[in-house]
Amino acid sequence: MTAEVLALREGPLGTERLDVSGPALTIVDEPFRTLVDVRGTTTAPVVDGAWTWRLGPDWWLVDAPASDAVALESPVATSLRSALPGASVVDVSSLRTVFVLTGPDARAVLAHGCSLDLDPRVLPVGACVQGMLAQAQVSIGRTDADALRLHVRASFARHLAAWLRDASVEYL
Amino acid sequence: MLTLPCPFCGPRDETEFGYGGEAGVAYPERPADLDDAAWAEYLFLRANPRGWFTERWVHRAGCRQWFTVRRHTVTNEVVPDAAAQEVR
Ligand SMILES: [Zn+2]
Repeated sequence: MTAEVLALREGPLGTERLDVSGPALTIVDEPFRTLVDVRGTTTAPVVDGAWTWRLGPDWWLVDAPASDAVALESPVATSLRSALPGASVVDVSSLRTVFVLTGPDARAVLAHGCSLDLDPRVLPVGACVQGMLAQAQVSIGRTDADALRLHVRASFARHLAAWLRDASVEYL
Repeated sequence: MLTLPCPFCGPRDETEFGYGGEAGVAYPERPADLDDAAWAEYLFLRANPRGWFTERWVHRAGCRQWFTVRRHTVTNEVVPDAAAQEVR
């Protein structure tokens, strides 16, 4: 967000940042992404420069870069709505926040609190699973062989950040 | 813990699901015609077999889809119920 006099915004982690770094592991938070919930279509919404995660048979989460536009809804939601008539398209940027895990140890850290199978053969690049991680509902998408994006509800973000810091101690 | 077969996500832990009770309980065609006893029967009375039971689950922490399985109430064996998938 830009302003001539003052720009002010706060993510779900407040003034903390998630910044874990080890030889084979990094975890950072990526607040202020533009997140758009799309329901009622079985074909993937297309947005340039965004990840599109399939959360259910006709349910998608578009994960796009932060927007500078000051608007009630993001430009991404507006353009998707005209591209997908009949679908429900809602900006949910404040619903979840994004944590990014990279490195060969990323999967091992999540395995401390998650029974989901995150093997690349089960979860290839571009695929997404939803389930529980350390008692918090999350969706986990793979963006690379060693890179996972984790979407967690804003009210669980501080809990999950604390849990991730603790779980990653042995990998630092 | 049960492992339940979500038709969209595959086998997952029971803790990801919510229970929806017996499958195939249809809403009365003319609810206003029911007397109290019949209404109570529709609302509260369910089969309680010792053996196979057809029931609804919702994948609450996952894809949020409702689906139907058959579960053995003694052994807790769970199998997908293809015939009952149509029941919404
Ligand atoms: Zn599911």
